[in-house]
Formats: sequence, structure tokens, C-alpha cells
Amino acid sequence: MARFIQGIWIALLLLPVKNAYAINETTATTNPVSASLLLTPARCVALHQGQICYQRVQISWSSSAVGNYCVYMEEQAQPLHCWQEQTQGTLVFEFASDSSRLLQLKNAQQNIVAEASMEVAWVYKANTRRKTHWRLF
Amino acid sequence: MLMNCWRTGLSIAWLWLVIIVPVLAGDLSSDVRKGTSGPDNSNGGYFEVGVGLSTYTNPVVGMPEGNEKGEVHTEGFLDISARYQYRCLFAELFSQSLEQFTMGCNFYNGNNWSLDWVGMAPHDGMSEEESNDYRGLNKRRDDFMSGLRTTAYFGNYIVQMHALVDISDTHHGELYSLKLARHWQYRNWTVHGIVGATYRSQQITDYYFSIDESEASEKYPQFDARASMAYVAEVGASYPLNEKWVFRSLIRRINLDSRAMESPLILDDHGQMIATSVSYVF
Repeated sequence: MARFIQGIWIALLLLPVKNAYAINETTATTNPVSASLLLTPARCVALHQGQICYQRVQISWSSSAVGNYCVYMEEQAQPLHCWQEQTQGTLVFEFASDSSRLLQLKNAQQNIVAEASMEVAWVYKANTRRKTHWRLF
Repeated sequence: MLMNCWRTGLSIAWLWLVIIVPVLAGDLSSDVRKGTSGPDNSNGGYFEVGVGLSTYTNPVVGMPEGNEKGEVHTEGFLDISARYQYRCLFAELFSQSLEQFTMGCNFYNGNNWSLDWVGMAPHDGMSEEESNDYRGLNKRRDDFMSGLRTTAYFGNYIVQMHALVDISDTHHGELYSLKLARHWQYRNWTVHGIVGATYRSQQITDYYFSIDESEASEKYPQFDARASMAYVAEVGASYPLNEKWVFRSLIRRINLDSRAMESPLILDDHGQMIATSVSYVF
């Protein structure tokens, strides 16, 4: 009996591990320079839709050409980090957003050479509020 | 056997939650755990099921059988959270909430508040069939109360009031409660706190906690209960393990006023509970 209960608890606790280490990678194929950007994990789960989701994310990038590269969060002017004369790099950063966001690897000419999406998900969707006030059936 | 264990745990948890604690809306308890900031009165519903473990003390005689003052009980329980609404009609079942099951009609929705007509069974029966500790005592029946529930949302705060009367011809009592809940977010944890007070009229306390002359004994001397107050304080936390699994924990304390303590059926002036659970959200 005790082993059975213990088994259930272990199974329950292991279930979330499956998604925790998913990665997201996108390689720019149209650019003559081959580059890739990986996010680990690539998913952040909040309890309720609309809440800020927090996740420590490792960004790994690589490129076929040596150069100056920066990683940006979409719609942000300031890069998260830049590397000089490199073909690869890693960065750990604290993701915090209430919606899914793109991360982009840009070269010195500010061209996007690779990008990956950090997905924000939630358990409970936002409440639906009715416009009507008084009601009976 | 496992199911029996869960059933027993749930049953005991229900008894404890229903009989001695102030009524707390499933709606309020559920909403504050989710970190919501407005009423959800849309058609449809949701369902969660999980398992949990609770450790508690219960100030009521016979819950569970042989219960003594300050005795700590540990039980597994089946954790169910469910809600369904069609137009104004709704039914809610939240096993970790103080109210457990509520049915009713939501007839007013403002931007930040709502009015519901609700029905629930806030007090469980007490009889020899439930516990040998009640041998020789008259049977106390389950009740069913109905009335108004008002819920207001102010940012991260939720305020809820109940005004209920007995409609089951059990004790003809009245119950009024006021609860304040708040939630905070720390990274992906949603932390909540609830404080509340419940007034029970003399008819309710007399029906459940008085000892009539006809049933009085050396163990249970005659006693006349008066109207009483009960107070609850709770803190807890919820964490999304992924999109389908949620971890929850809470610590709850209920204080009874000193008058209730005078009843031979009350062992202590407070009860406490620590509960943790893991639930699957469908």
C-alpha cells in the first residue's frame, strides 16, 4: 500500500519534467551565414493568463562566420548581450513576460541571422466578463 | 483500499471543514488561489482532480472518532475542483475550500463585483452512524442553507459576504460571514491569504452543540449554546508544474469564541490544518 502511494507520488512529480527541458531552435536559412539560436527551456508556464511568467533561460547561439553578434528580445532596442569576433556564445537570462516573445540573433549590420520563440503558457485562462448586468436565465 | 483511504480522508476533511469552520466561498478560495482579479461568470466549466495529504487538529468531539484535544491526524484526500455554469445557474465543488459545494444563480455582474443567490449545506450531521462518540446523543441532521452571496474584486483583493438562512427545517438559524482574501505573485508562485469571520445564530449552535436534558449524561452534561463567532486565517501557495499540473499548499487556523468552548462537544478553541496537493487540470 505504502509503495503504491509512493509510486503514484513519484509518477506525479516526474510528469512536469518532460516539458521542463524542451528547447527551441531556429536557424536562418535565407541568410548566407548559417546561424542558430537555442533556448533552454523554451517554455514558461504561469498559473493564470495575464500574469508575468518568470523563467531562467539559457541562450546558446552559433554561426558559421566569425563576427560581432548580439541577442535581442523582440521590440527591445537594447541587446541582452553582445559578443565580439565570435562564432558561438551562451547566456543565461531571466525571462519575464506575460506573452510569448521572440529572441533574435543579429549581426553587426543589425540583420537577424537566427531567432527563436520563448513561449508563455498558463494553466487557467483569463476570466470572461459579461457586459450585461442584471439577468435571470 | 487506496480509494477507501482517500474516501475516508476526504470524508473527514469534509466533516472538519463543514462543521466547525466559518463558511468560506469556494468561489473566493478558488479565485484567490488562481490569482484572478475579476468575476468569472461565463458559460461552461472546468474540472480538476488530484491527490493531497492533510495534517490537522479538530476541536469537535467525534471528528474523527475518538478525537482528543490537540490530537494530530494525518489523512490522504482526493482533491477535486470543479465548476459549471449555464446562464445564471452554477454549481461549484472545491475540496480545499471551506465551503465545499455551492449551487446557485448569478443574477448580477458589475465590472468588479457580483451577486449570487446560493444554496449549500454548511453543517454536517452528527449521529451514532458517523461516530461512536455520539452514542446516546440525539441525532443532528445535515442542514441546507440559502441566501445572498456578494463578491467584490479590488485589484488583488477579494471581499465576500454571505447571508444565509436555513431552508431545510433543521434549525431555522441564520449565518453571516465576511471574508477578505488577497493574492501576491512571487515569480511563478501565487501566494494567497484569507481572513474571515462568521456569525452563527443561537438556533444553529443550539442545534449542533447544546446538550438537551433528554440526552444529558455524565460524559455530556446539559448545556445551552448561544450564538457564536468563528474566525479563520489562511495562507497558501500555488505553483504551476506545467500547463496541466498544479501544486498547492495551505496552512489554515480556525478560532472559536470562548462561548463555543463551553459545549461538551467542543474540545478546544481552535483547529489547524496543513494540506498539500497535486492536481491535474482538464
